[in-house]
Amino acid sequence: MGLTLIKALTASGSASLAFVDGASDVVFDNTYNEYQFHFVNIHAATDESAFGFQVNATDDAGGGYDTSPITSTHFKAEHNEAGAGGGLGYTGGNDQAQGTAYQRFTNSQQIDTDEAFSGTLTIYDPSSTTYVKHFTATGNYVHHSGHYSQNIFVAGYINDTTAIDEISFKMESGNIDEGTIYMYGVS
Amino acid sequence: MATKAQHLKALKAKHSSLTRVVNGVSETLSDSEFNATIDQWATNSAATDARNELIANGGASADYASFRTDRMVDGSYPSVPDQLDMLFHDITNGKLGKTGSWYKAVKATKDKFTKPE
Repeated sequence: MGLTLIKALTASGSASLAFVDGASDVVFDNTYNEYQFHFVNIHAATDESAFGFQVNATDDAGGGYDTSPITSTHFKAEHNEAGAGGGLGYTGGNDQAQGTAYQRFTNSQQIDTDEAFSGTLTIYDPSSTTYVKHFTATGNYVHHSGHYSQNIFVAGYINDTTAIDEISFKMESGNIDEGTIYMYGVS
Repeated sequence: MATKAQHLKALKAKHSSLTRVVNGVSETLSDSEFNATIDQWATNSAATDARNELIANGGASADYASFRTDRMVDGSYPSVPDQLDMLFHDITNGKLGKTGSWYKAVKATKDKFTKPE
């Protein structure tokens, strides 16, 4: 497996970051069967906000990232700085059943200056016109409630057999204060 | 707890414009996009405030089940190992009823986060 860096986007008080196929050397089509997005130190501007993604299909080019239905699961392992709270949990508030909202990776992120989210998202065969688009993601962040290390595991599918070629990332409230997203093609 | 209107006012005072980054190019949101984004942020912030109010003081919520089971929520059910330990001690002490520690712990969570009528 080889990774080809397609584009890196850096937030600086940005409402959202987006990769759109066909411009500025960004490809998000059948050039690769698999795409990875690496999040490095995504720092929220607003306390207790959630970071997530949504896509536009080719029949909604330039759309509002609000029409692709997602069915997903979300669970976590967690442990806090006081050595307490170790455990696993399914987080029903972060999953979707044919929802069109941004799919959460995190929720209730802490925004101390040294706290952020890092992780990866993989989307498989986004240009397929036969299959729904599966995705998997994992990462770690500092949860607002008592400085918890929260290791998230998110997976699901975008229930659309139209090709997707645009993807957006944002916080549910407030800007992305800082952070970089690297987009790779997998071959 | 701030209302959505209060969040809207604060956000508009804080942000005169918003930008997004598309393929590495910074773009300023249009007026309609700016207003929609600020409205969404205010809605979400007000919802967070309402959730925090419920976590602090309890009450009825359509999300009562997730409040009860989310271990990040103060007052949620004890972990399964902790509940089993409570049951062990309740059985040992002959208190496998409403006076036992397990019953009291579970009831406290159910009483804090209630199902709307």
